[in-house]
Amino acid sequence: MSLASAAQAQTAFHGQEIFDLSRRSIDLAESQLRLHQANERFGTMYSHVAITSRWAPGEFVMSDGTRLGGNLARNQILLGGGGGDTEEGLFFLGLQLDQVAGVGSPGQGEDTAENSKLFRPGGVSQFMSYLGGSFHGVQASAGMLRNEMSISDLEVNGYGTFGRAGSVRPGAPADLQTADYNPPDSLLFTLYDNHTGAFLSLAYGSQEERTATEWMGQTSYRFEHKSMGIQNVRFNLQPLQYYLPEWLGLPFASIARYDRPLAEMASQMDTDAAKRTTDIQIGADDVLEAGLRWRVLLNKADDFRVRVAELGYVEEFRAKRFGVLFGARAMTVNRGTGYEPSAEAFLKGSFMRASAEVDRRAVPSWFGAAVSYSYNAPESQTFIALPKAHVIGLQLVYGPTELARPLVPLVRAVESRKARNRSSEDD
Amino acid sequence: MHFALRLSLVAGLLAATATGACASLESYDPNQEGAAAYTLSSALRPGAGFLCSDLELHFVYYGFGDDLHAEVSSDRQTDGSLFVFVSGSHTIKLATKEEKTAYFRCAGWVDAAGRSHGIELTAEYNPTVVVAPRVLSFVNGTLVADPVGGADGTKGYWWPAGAPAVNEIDISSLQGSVGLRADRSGLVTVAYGPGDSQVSFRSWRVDATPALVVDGADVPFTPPEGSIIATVRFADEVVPGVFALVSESAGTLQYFRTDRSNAVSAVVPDTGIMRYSRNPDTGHVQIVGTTVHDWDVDGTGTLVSPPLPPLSEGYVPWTVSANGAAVSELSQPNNLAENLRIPLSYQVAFVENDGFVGREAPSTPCANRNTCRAIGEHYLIGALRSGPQRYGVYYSWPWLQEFVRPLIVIAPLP
Repeated sequence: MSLASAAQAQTAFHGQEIFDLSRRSIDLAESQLRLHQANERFGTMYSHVAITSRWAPGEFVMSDGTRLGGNLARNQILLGGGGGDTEEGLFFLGLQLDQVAGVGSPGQGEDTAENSKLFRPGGVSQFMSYLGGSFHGVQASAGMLRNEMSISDLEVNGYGTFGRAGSVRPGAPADLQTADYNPPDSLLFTLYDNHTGAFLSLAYGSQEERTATEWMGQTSYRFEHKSMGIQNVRFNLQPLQYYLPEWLGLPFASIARYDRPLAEMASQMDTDAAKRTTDIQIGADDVLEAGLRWRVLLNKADDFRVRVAELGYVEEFRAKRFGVLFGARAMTVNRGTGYEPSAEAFLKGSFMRASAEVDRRAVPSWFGAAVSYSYNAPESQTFIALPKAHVIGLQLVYGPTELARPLVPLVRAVESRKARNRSSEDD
Repeated sequence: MHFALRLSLVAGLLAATATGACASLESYDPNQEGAAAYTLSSALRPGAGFLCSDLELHFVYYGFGDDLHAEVSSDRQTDGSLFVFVSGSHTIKLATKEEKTAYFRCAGWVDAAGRSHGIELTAEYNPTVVVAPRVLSFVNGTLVADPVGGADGTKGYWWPAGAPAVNEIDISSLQGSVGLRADRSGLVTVAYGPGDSQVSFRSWRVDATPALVVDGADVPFTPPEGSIIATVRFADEVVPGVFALVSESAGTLQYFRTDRSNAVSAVVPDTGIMRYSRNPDTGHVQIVGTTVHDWDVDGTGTLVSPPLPPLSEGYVPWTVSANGAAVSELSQPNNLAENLRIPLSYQVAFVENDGFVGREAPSTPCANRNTCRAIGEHYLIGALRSGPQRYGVYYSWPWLQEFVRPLIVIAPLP
């Protein structure tokens, strides 16, 4: 039985919506933060290969309204390793891929003339290769980030529906002419301070502007390189130590400022630039030292109305070198049409190493595997915040499981950290 | 210092996870003619709908232009529904400045509840002219009574009421003027003879073939003494067994009825007459030329030629269609393409009572003009009236090309 037939109510995949959500979700800068945090936790970067794949069955709404059963997948791959330790000197490098793709079989075979007419589910992705190092607890990395993030990569046309893109004829509004826009590639620099948990990422690359050219009595618009500069900056602060009373857990706060997809503006003729918006998020993990989590997300565009309110719980069991982690969370989500329920749960098993390679640091896993289920989750880290979607996830990790984004972002890492801190005090 | 570089490239995994299949996509017809229709359908204003399937106009890239001509013909059927036939042309300019004209035909109907339905046109030929055929609705269907098809130009269309497609029908036997029978069971023609200065009315119906068959004996008519039937411009059956015709000679019109011994005369001050017909609501004869003349043939006998309404500033001069609707446009140049314009608003005028009444009409069939503009260009190519309800017929030309085709949209007018 296919996943598509498993769901009673099929989620409708609308091209524009999937594209917008994908652009907001795929973010390798955030993955770099996770890598830095794991490096700090283990004192080094262990060799790792991590594959995370989450699937949602549904129906692709094609350009003529036809609905085709299939799956939407979010695939994330990590590959990397390093040598040394974060205090005395660490060198690391790796690759990352983050992708949202439609998955199905017709039209994906031989590239014949007949097959070329069939719908081939596309995908948008970011790919990054990076190098980094650490000294005295301060990590830095530099990477080359490549975008395949245009709307046509997802096989979505200028009207925002799945299907062949086609060209835009002369005279079309400028927004429609430039709807198929791929953001420029970047050099991504990150800096992470192990002591405070402060993280700074900076993307540097081409600054592009929409320009008009005239030819044969018509004006065409496209994005052109104008200069080199900073494309975006991100700052995150999550101390992995108890600066606050322990019952408060590990608080976190983030501010994310991002551009809304240009295609979203296609119907607004007089708008020349993409709008920007800001998400503000606060919360805490492991509250009361009992695996409890809370989080609130507000958005500036909504006059700081609460968009997500969350309560979660995570518990860990250990039996010698085997570990089992279970977590679940419930949310209420407001996408602009009122508050709706959402729920997620996951189960992760791992086989731990016998000892840590870096003294007085956490012991990582050799292997880990996890499964998850989500409904209506506003989750953008390992899937996209697709309303009413049933999402099944699978994760396979060789190396520390903490390197990969969790299927459900619930953490229970305090006990081992406390033990480490006590050990440090004893010394 | 530890040094354990244990990086192993597993490049195959990158590809393996990206292409896995779990559920098969069903086969998909790549013919995306419905792309614009699907996108546009949710943006149309209440009551608007598509009049026919997408037009098979294959324009080449960098060919663009807004030179559109169309004639909209229609007739209200006995059940209150409305049959609509559109004939038009669209001329584009290529980058070489060469022009290319594409012709289109479109048929559809609007049911009594106001929902529009497309009708498939089965003609196996490409039109090369814009026509404004006479459309006659019978109790069992609608006849497009002027040649609109066939290699020899003798084929009209017969549409059985409610059918998804029209049939070609041989109309070579229809000569001269045609009009409706009083009971709308068929049509009436008139021919000269059998005697000198005589004409004969002949009744027809459409059988199940479908074919035109003579229905009953011819009815001869001798005009009153002193009158001559010159060129017959219009003929119909007023009440069962009573026929009427309009004869024209050098601008002078005469109206004859088989139950009257005298003719009603009038002079029509118009040299560009396109169409004679009978207004189903008033019974008057309507004469469409450079304006619309209303002739109360069975009442006062007066012919009224109301002037077209004055135009607001910026509107182009009125264009009067064969169906009696006058349309004027206010537009601005499209700054992104020199051969395109952007309609801002329209005025549409019909004869109501004794004079033209003009009203503003939206420039697109959408509830929100900008939404329509983001999908494509929209031009009001014609207007029609059925009782108190007025409709606009829009040519919708999507911005996306290669896989999407122009559409004809019919929408209620204020």
